[in-house]
Amino acid sequence: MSAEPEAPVAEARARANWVLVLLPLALLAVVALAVKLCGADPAAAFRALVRGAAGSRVGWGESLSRAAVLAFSGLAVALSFRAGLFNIGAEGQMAAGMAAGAAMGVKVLGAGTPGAVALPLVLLSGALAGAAWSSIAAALKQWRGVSEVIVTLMLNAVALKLLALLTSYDGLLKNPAEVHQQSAPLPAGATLAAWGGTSFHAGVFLALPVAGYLYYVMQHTRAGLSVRAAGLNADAAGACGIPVARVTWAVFAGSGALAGMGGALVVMALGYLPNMNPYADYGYMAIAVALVAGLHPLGVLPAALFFGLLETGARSMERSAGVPSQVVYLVEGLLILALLVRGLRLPGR
Amino acid sequence: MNASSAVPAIRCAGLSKRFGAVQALHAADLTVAAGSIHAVAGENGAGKTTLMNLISGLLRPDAGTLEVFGRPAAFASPLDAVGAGIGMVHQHFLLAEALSVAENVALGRRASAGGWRFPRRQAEEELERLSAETGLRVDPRARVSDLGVGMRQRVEILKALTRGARILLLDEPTAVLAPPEVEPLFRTLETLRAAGRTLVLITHKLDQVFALASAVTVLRGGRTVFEGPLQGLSSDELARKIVGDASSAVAAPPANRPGAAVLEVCALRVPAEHGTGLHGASFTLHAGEILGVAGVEGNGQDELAGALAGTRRAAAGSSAKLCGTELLTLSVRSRAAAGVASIPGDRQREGLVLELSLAENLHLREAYEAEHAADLGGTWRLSPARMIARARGRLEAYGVTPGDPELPAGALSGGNQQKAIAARELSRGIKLVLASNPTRGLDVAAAAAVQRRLVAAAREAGAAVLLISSDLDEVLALSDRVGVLYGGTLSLLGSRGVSREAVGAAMVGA
Repeated sequence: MSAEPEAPVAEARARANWVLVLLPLALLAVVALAVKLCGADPAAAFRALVRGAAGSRVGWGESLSRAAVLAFSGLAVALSFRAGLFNIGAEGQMAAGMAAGAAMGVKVLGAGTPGAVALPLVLLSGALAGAAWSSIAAALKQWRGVSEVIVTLMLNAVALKLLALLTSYDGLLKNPAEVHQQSAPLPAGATLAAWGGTSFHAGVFLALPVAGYLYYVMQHTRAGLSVRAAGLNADAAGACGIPVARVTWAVFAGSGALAGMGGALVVMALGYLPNMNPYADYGYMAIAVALVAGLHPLGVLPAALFFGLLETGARSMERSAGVPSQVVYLVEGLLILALLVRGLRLPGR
Repeated sequence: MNASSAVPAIRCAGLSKRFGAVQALHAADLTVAAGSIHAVAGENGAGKTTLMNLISGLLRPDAGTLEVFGRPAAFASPLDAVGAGIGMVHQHFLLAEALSVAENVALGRRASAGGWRFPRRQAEEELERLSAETGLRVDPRARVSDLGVGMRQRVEILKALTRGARILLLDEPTAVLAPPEVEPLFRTLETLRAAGRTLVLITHKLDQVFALASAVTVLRGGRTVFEGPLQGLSSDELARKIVGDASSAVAAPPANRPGAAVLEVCALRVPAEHGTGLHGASFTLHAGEILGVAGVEGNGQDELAGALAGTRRAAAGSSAKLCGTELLTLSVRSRAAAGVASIPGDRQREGLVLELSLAENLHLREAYEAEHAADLGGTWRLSPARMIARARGRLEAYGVTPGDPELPAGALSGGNQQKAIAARELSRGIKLVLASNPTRGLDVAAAAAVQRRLVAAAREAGAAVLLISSDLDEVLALSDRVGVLYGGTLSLLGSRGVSREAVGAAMVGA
């Protein structure tokens, strides 16, 4: 009796699950063909990918540090999508976090600031900058009715130009002693040292409590219930007294803060602000991470790890097997398509 | 003509369908004589919609056979059913609002001679011809978004007819209609039948069964419990077959001495969004009193309920005082804290978050009220386990089935969804209850349960109840005083015993 309206959906799901079995196979075939067209041996390319991503300490270190960046931006996307807000701007918010984190380190903190003070401050400034950056989209949406998709997307380009600007002028953040356009180094206390010749750093661990915290907030607090209710049905939430407008502000700020923290982590690990984001496009890949995770905060962790491995493996495959890393991006694209075929539902609208 | 000797339009035998753990249909039978109007009656969740979805090709049966005009049919998709001459008019219309009537009717039809150019003129003329033939008057050039509900329904029927439907399945066709639109629909259906088409009418409303159909099939719990001609069947007998042994009569509330004034509304004006707006309503509601507001939908009902509930802004100069406190400047949450309960007219849009669990839906208000904070986990924390435990007893008390608080609200039938809303809104300290069409689309038993709750809220909890309903019978049965909204103006007709004719006349502005 209860299932009546849901029934056709359930049948469609069952059919889609069958498709889901076939899809990875089709996916593999397409990738093998693409590798073949590049003039390489698919089996060798695959081996190179796996070995590069997870075949050594260096590979794991690289994969995990990439996964951490993806986890923060993935959590940012998952939070906003859960609220029915389509923040496509993790890329820009991450860049804002990088800039602010570097500014805090270079301009405010002294050389002798201990890590216990410096690291939280850099992280906090990154979070605040990310929140401020995404709040522009929130303001335009609330006051002028502009779609957040357009605004966040456009602001990504602006934020990246901002990085270039900050690292181009001596008066700003550029290091006058350096030919390359990059900022002066962050004080030692504000950096995260790499572990034994790998790219792994302690900041990677931070993704775990943050994801756990977000999960707790979403499922075990009043604020989480507000976000989920407003995202799934703003009319009903509003009629029950949930302040939907305030939830929108808070979610934009929180989402931007998560991405901004990811950005701060990047500069802490690098030790300076580069003029180009070394993790370019990770803010977009974060959308794939969040969708693969089913918008579940804890699901974001394995999803981010998967994409981190894929990223590292792709680069290694390019070097050792001569297969362009674009082949891997083909995989990512097809994977998202496969998820859409499964009938993934986004809340809201 | 002897119907039994002719080939039936539809013959289903032993149709079964299971969704997960729920056996929606259990070897159901249905035989519909060609050229007749056949009613399919049953409570919410009896399996009516599932049966129609099987016949219209939306679902495939687990077991059983289906014959259309004597030919065995196994539909793989709704398109197959359309090919066999079956057209379905859904309760919720499937129209593209931005397109014109002619464009909507042409949508989804296979392109003809025109190739991929849309022959607009031709489509419009064709539709005009069909309109004239069937008496279903619509302007082919009108945009669907500009049409009222009754007109949209006509477009749906025309859509089915242009696809060559000889059998029309109508799911609760009057549920969305205002009373004056029902009569024209009935005439239309009668005309279509006279022209040789077969109509299958799914309905809760017994008077409609008797007014239109010649035979009826009653489903209960997924089984066919009765099938036969209506001749010689009394309304009481049919009602008993539908609900089984449960009593279905709505007891009129006992007489009542009005208490102190609870709500004083003065010159309440609400600007129009779609309908007429509300032009200055003034009335006083007393403790324990039920004020029923009848009227054809779109005459200011949404505005009145919305302004008091806080989802709509009232114009400057309006006033509504709850026990002396001005309501109109308060937030929705503060109004709830002050004792306002609201059963909104559109339960799926404004009442529940269908994807959230019942436990969460039941706490959409209480979770944010300070006096429940300790019980629910703390000032910030909200314990899922505590919500589930609290919801369980409440769901049981309000007769919500299935009463599993962890189920998503969307898994429930309409009647049970409405009971869940009542459980959330009425099991609190309440002074004022706003109920908009609280029993719309519900079966007899569920409607009676909700109505009993409203009466109890007034008589036992001493709340003032504002019942806004387009169901005249409901208003007359439950109300201590009766008012009518017409063209955005509220007129109070007086207390208990006001005549049906007087209310009816006021509803159409006579």
